Amino acid sequence: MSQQSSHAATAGHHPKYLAHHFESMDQQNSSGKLGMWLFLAQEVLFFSGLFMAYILARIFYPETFLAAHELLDWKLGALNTVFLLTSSLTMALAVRGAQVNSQKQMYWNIVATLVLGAAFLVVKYFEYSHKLHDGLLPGHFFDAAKAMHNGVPANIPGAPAIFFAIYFVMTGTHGLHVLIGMGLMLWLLVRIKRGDFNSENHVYLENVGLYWHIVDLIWIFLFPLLYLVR
Amino acid sequence: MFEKFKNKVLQSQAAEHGEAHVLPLKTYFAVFGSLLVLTVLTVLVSVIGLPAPASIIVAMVVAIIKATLVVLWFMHLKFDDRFYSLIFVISIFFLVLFFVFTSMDVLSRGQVNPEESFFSQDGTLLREEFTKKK
Repeated sequence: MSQQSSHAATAGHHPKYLAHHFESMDQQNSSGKLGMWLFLAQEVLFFSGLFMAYILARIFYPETFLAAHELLDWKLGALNTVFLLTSSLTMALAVRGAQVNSQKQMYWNIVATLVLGAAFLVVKYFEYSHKLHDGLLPGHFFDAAKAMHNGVPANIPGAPAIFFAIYFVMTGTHGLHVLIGMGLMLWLLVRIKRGDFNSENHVYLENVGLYWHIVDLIWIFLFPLLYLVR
Repeated sequence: MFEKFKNKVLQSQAAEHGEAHVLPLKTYFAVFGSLLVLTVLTVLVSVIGLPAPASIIVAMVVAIIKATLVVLWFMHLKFDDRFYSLIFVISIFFLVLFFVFTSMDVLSRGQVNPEESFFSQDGTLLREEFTKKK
């Protein structure tokens, strides 16, 4: 299968994966990528609202943020940072695999990225279930008495309920992006197995890669802001 | 003259799109290594506990450096068509605009009209409805 497609790639003016409304593979690929970058710009602006909420809450309740972040485990946050950074590396290597036309590199690097994404969510699951158990929840679900009962020093000044609202909405939205990215990678694996991608035609792989790097980028900011505030 | 210009554009386009820029493996590992080192640095800075404004500034500068590494090398913006960079930079521009002007409004409202201020003279928060329980 991959033999066939790489043959088509060298066959000349009409590779089988060139859609009729594009003049060349170049034009097709750069149009796809342009669309992806516009979407990523939208993602930046979408998350900017959440970061703005963070900034305002911190302006209003600096003492809350200083105290409440002690209730998050920075070690788990750091572990998750390493997972996501490594997954970004494997994703970049998968795209490189496509550039050098290696089906094996494409496939196994995507598998690695998928596994690291799953590891991220598993850590996040443990963090969330801990918070749920201790009543460290957003808004009026926040239950300081329950937390204190479980030995968590939740006597936080200001508005801890707002801190946890911001924590859950930001990491939750980010986690949802990770989940969507993993779904996209499953789809990529099916298509790689089918032999759809090669050095000439891999804009799908590249675009999912760009999306995954943006997800990583957002975590790069979330980690110090939520876990390491001082 | 126009013909000359057109040729120049076509040439530069061919250079840009012609062959996908394949980076050597060691570049990827070098970027990854730097990202890990910078992560350790952020954690260390937090554990050491710099005084209040310095720690957030250091943390954000390190995060911005990390983000730049990811965007330039992992996302290939350094080697790709400049138009993608333009789109990304524009989104960052509007992000900064949003942050700066909203913060300015919240922080300086009292100077224009004290009744509208979020804070009292000694800096405590006035809008108690944010914390009030239902």
